[in-house]
Amino acid sequence: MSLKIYLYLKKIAENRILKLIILILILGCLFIYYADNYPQHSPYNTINNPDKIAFGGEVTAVNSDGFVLTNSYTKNPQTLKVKSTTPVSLEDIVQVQGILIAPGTIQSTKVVLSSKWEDEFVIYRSIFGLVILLIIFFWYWKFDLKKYIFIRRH
Amino acid sequence: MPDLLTHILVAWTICTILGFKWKQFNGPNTALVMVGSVIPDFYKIIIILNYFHIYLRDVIAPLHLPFGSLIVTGIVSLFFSDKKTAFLFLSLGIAIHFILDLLLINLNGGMFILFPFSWDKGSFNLISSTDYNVTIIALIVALIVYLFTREVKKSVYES
Repeated sequence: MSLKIYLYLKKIAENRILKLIILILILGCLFIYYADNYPQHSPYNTINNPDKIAFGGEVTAVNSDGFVLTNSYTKNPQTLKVKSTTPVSLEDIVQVQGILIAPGTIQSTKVVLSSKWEDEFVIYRSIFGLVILLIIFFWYWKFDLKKYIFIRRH
Repeated sequence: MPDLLTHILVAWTICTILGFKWKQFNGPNTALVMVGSVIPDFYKIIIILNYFHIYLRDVIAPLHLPFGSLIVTGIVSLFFSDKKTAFLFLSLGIAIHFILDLLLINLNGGMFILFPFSWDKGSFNLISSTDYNVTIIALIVALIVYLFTREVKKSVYES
């Protein structure tokens, strides 16, 4: 009887589809856990530390005393006015750390600046790297459509 | 992140050097490490999703954290006949990726290295994510290793 249970459990453990479902479920749980808890654990968020702000985004306006940063990776794009002496241009990508001096305005203490072309160059290099990787990978491996697994060529 | 090219070059260089000592670091397994070194950047799918006005940055962020990447590695390794070997070499790739990413300047405090067990952040804050000098250095080192390997193989073949 115990041998039957052992063999049954072994069969389940060897089931690729079941493993796949379990791993996807774990990943889903991680996503939910992160999305629920991230706002409370960001070290420079407005809940834990209302004065100290860290923000990243694209420069969407340049003023005499600073610039405006916009982060468009959220449903409602977040905008922050930064008082800084660092020279920036429109469309530069900026990471900034600073102190809140008024609602939606910070006085920067640290600024890390990347120009638009430097940011785009990262994408071009990455695409080039990805093409090289695909060539190398499929040089050594091929996909077996019957078994749905990668097998070695050499 | 440094760009994918840097991650891939560093993974290849490390595997080629290790290949002098351990025969397991052959072509197919080195290719697996290289694939592993880009797995955490599956997270960059947010760039495409953002283009279609789908905003999931704060949901799928665990893809770019060690534990989340290990789960993805587990999923990917299911598509190989020797799952354990594939998992080990892919995991080495993600380890290389995170070692490089820890060098990046991150004013937000760095990445949640031990998520979901801890929310402590970490970063060495040494290089900018857009610094192409890192790619140039990785390229030069990979070229030196390639030339050296070729010479060693040539001398072994001749003797």
